[in-house]
Amino acid sequence: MSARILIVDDEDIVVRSCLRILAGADYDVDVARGGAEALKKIDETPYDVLVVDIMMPQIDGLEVLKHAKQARPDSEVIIFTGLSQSETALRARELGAFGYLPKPFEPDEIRLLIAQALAKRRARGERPAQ
Amino acid sequence: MFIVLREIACSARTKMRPRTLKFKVGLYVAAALAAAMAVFTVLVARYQRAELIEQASEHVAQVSEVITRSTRFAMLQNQAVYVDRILQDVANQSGIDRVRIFSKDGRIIHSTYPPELGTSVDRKAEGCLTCHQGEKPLDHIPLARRSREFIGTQGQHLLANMSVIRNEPPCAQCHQDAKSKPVLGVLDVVYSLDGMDRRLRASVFSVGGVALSFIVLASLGIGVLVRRLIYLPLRDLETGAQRLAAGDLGHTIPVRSNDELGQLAESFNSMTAALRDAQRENDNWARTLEQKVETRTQELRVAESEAARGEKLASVGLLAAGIAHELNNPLTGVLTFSHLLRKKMPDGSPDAEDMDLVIQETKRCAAIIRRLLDFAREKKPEKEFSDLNQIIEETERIIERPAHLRDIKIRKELDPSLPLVWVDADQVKQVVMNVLVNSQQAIEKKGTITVRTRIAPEPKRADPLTEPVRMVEITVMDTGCGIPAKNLPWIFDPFFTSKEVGKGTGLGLSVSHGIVRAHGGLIEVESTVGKGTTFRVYLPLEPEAGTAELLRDGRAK
Repeated sequence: MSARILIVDDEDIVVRSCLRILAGADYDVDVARGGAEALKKIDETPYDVLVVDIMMPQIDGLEVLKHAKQARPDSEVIIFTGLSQSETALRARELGAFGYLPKPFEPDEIRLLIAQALAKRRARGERPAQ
Repeated sequence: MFIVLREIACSARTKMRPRTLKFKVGLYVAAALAAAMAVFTVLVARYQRAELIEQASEHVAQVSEVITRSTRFAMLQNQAVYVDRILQDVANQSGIDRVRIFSKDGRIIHSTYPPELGTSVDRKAEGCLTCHQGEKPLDHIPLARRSREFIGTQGQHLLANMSVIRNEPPCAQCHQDAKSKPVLGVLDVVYSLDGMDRRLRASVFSVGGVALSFIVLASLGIGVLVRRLIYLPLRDLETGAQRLAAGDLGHTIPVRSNDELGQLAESFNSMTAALRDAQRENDNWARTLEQKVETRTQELRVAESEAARGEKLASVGLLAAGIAHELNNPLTGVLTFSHLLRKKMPDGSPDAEDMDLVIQETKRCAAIIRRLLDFAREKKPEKEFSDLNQIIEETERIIERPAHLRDIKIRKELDPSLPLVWVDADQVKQVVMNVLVNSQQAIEKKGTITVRTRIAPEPKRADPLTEPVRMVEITVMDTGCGIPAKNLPWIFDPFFTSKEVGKGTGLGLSVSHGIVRAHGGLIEVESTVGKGTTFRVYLPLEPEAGTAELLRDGRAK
């Protein structure tokens, strides 16, 4: 079963970029175009990795991160943002984010980060006691 | 007197001029003198007159006595002709108007004035009343009362002396016995006082003349005195007061005496001097005030431009955040799709080269945005005691190699005795780096950059509103192209750059400025086009008062 990935961003171009980057890989990629939609989808589906944009109207990326970690503690969350602020990165790390990716990123960067997140998750899965 | 006259002439000229002190003193003194002189002259004249009358009375009495004695013999001889002759001779004397003898019943029996011979005089006439007041005539009257003054028929002023001719025993030859008839007649000598009057008048005139000349002389003297003692000092004072009122504080009035007016003049002069001092002090204050205003204005201008720069920074911050957010999303797309497209192109093809350029430039855009964000973020300095020389050494090492490649020599003159400084080492490194890079870029080829550290020779103030504090000084001096004077005010402004587009963001010096300001320091720059630029970065040596206490407390715990 291919890994389930959710891309959360309100910007079409970013979503489209992510979809194109991940197109060749064996991932089951889903998209949420906002915080509210993301929360709903998280509740419905157990994603392996979430890639969440921080800056979104109404419900922002940190809220989504909090919810995901609460509802699906097993899933890994990668945060990306247009504002490379260390405070936000630190805060995301505190809330349990796996990685932090400043925009614009190169295709390989996101690929690598997702692969790492999946590897971590897999490692945890192999040792369920943890 | 002449003052009075001049004064009158003067007042006639000016018409409106009020009666001056000079005029009044002159007038009153002249009037008083004239009155005194008039009284004196009258008194002298009266005294002189009385004297002369008395002398005349005595003279007439003597003449009367002489006549009585000299006619005695002729009388006894009953020689009336002789008597007449003697009377005539005596009457020829100057001043004697006439000599006559009255009989007992008042008939004129002898007279040097023939027409009246034989006529009788009335006993009630004034001359006779002296003795004939009562029924019985007075037997004896004192010498002083024997003479009388009167005006003659022709208007002459006359003095007459009557002496009684007594019946003595030898007279009995012709006259009855003395017992029944004690008085035989009266000898009346009339003396003319016209001569005396003339002398008196002449005397009065000469006394009056003398008095008049005295008044003139006295008036002149008093006039001169009034002029010298009162008028001139008063005029000086008046002139002084007028010039003072006109604002001339340099004028002093002459002190002509040591009397009250002299003292007044001295007081006036010391008053002007005091005013002068006060004015000078005022002027000084005004000047000081002006200078202070000038300095404050200058300081305010600096503060204002600082504030403007701060405002610019704040708006740049907001702008940067907006731009970053708006641009990074599309850039993500551009970067992704160009990478994906590039993969489809064969390496070495012109399309691939073009696409590599797109990727490279997109990354550069991303880098610019990141730097903009870093700049806008204004990180608060995290200070600790740091070795400034070490910070500089480390920074210099980074650019040493590229500098060397461009034939730029970096000379270090670091003060080894420099104490540790309370700064954020990373931020100061950034500042030194920015300034060094700036200097390096200013040198086109071959040159020297000198980096020097020391304790600033005198305390500096970071901005006009703070107290000066001890600071360390980092000097970075290059032999580069220099900055034109017109650009100097802007070099710390964000996005100001003299480099060609693509070579710099224009944020380096602005970021450095922000960091130094956040440290409570300042950056000074001086530059000569073609010769080079000198940056001086000043950073406070010690932590601010509050921090120092916190540190001490922390250590105590």
